[in-house]
Amino acid sequence: MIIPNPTEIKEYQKFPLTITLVLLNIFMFILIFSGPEKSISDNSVLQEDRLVLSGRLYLQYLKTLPTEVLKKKPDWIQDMNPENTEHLGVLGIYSVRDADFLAVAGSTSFWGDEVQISDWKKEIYQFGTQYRNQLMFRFGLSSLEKKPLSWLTYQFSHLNWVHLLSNMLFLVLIGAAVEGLAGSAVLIFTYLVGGISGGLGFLLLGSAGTVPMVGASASISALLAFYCVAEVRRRIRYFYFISPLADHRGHIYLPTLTIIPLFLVIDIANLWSSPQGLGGSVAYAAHLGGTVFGLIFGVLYRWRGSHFLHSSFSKFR
Amino acid sequence: MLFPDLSAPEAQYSSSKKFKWPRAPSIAFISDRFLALIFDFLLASPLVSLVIAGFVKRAKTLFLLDSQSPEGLVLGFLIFILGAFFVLLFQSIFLYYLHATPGQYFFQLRVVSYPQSRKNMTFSQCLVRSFCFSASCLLMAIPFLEVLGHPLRRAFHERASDTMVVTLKKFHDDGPHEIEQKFISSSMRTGFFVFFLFSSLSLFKTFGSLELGAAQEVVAVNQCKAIGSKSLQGSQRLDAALALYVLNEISGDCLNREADYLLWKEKTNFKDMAYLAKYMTAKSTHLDKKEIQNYYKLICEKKSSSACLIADYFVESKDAKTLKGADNKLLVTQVLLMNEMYEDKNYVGSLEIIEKLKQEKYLQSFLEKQYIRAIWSLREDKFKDSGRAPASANSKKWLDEFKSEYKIK
Repeated sequence: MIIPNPTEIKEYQKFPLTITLVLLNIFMFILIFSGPEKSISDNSVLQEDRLVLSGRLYLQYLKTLPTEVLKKKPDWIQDMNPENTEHLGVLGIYSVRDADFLAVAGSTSFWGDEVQISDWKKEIYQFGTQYRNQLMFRFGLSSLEKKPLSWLTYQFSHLNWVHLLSNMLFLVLIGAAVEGLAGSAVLIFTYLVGGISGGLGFLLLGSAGTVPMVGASASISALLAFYCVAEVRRRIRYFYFISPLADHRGHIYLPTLTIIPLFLVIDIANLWSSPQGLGGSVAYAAHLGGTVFGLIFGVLYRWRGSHFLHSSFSKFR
Repeated sequence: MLFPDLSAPEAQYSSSKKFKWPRAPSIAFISDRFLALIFDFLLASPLVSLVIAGFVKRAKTLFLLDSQSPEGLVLGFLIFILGAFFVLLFQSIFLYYLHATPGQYFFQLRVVSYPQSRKNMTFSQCLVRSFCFSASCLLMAIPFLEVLGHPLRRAFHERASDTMVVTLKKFHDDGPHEIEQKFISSSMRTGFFVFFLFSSLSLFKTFGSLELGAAQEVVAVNQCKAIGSKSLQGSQRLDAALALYVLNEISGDCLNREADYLLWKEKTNFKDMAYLAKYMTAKSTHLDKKEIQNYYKLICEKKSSSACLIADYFVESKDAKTLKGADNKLLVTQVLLMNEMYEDKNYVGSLEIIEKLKQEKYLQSFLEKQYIRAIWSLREDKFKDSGRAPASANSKKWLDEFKSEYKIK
């Protein structure tokens, strides 16, 4: 295990905004999970046989699309064998993420088992309603839910405790470092605009997915990128732990630039290696969006000088 | 103890021409080397992943389409080679120019030429070291354990490349004790032996299972494999599936798959029979009452159709009269009639239908049970009646044929 552990972290009173951001994230998490529980994972549309059925209907839907729209869909869809149930299942998973398909599924006429099709249309309508009623969907950002407030609320919402704790650990570490270096105004600006940039990256690179994105990770990526560019010559204290033996744990100072391969490059690698439209639970595109903003803002911070930005942001205090 | 800051190393590694080892080299601590290795991994793995990301994406897509994709396997091997190549390059370049990998650099370690003291390591030395390092990884990293037992903490890749890792810190390792050396060497030999034993055994096991056909093509197609005949297509195939289902030779799931296969074809004119199959398998596919009713409505859009008559036969507690109007050319109708005749103790009639059905080669093996059942019942019937009335000529013909077929005296 090796994690950043700046010396200043003990003086928590110096970082009021970092602590406020962490508390806000925890508050939002409690708010979401104290609401009525409406888990969609048990919905019949997500059962194996129904996913195969969705896959069959999705193939028919694809045949109705004009070539230019079809070109925007992932390449692997073209290689699907309509007689292979495994393929149809995978296609079914993709289909329930495709907002364009879900929007027209109820009104499209399909051929096949009419009883199944009629039941499926009812189920997919209920699924859509249940999906939209989730607090996670309302607070999250997706191609279906992108009203102005969603761009902010998604940055403070989390999926589960593990997601929240891992993000908050990094927020405390890097937030304190940025707040100590550039002040509270720069921290909140980087956090919020970095998050918006992450949202933009997610929507641009994540096609027309219905899965909402939540989490502070895009904002944290922006803070990491900002810090490693703004403080390029400084070394960060890292804590390492191999075993409780004396020589196997301690601190080491590493250049801030090591953050790039350790935390940022891996996001790009993961984004590029995921089959289009079937990414995992991590929104790498959002991390990348946040990183791009953080790098640009970091360069600007160094170029125009910290005094200029300090004075600019002090007007808004 | 690890020195935390790079800015002031406690000892300087000199790369001047005059450099000579004045005394025994400062052996690096194992913990420092281990940490440096972890740091190198953390630093290099994202970079290597980035370089091979395109290939990984392609491989993931291939395995998504076919979990046993041969192209995917070849690509996976290529990815492994590419990854190893970039690791080799990454290590060699850093070793040549920095005399250390990034991890070793930050942990105050340097790689030097040993036992020959040189100003710089040659590039071939760096390459050999990196290559042997990568090869050691393939052997479950067992060769790395040599650092625990070697007097100068030199593992296989270091001895092969005439190099050694030294520390720039004030304190250095003194190497293992003699007893420790012996213990670790013997443990390593045992480790190698166990590794080779298990890997050879697992290879033999894999080879054995491949020979037994474990690598046969597994394609989850809709059609049911229990219906062996590949020549059967479309409506004929579904008719055969329905007949076999009535004979209890295939499962409800199997028939359901056949029905699905036909229903999801863009153009099909045998839909009512496919819906009939769905209707017949309602129990095994756990359909609710409403769905069953809906299927019935679809089957009986045309009341006089064979599918509707057969469905009615099941609805009306298997009343044979309802089957009269059904198409006699359909295998399922014939099988149902055969069963009805058997139930009515018309064994000869039942055998006549079996004889007719046996002309379909793919049904022959499935009908054997029905044939023997009918013959047995016919014989029992004859035996029962023997005191009262003579057996008919037809019965005798069937029994004689059976005797000659099975060579019964």
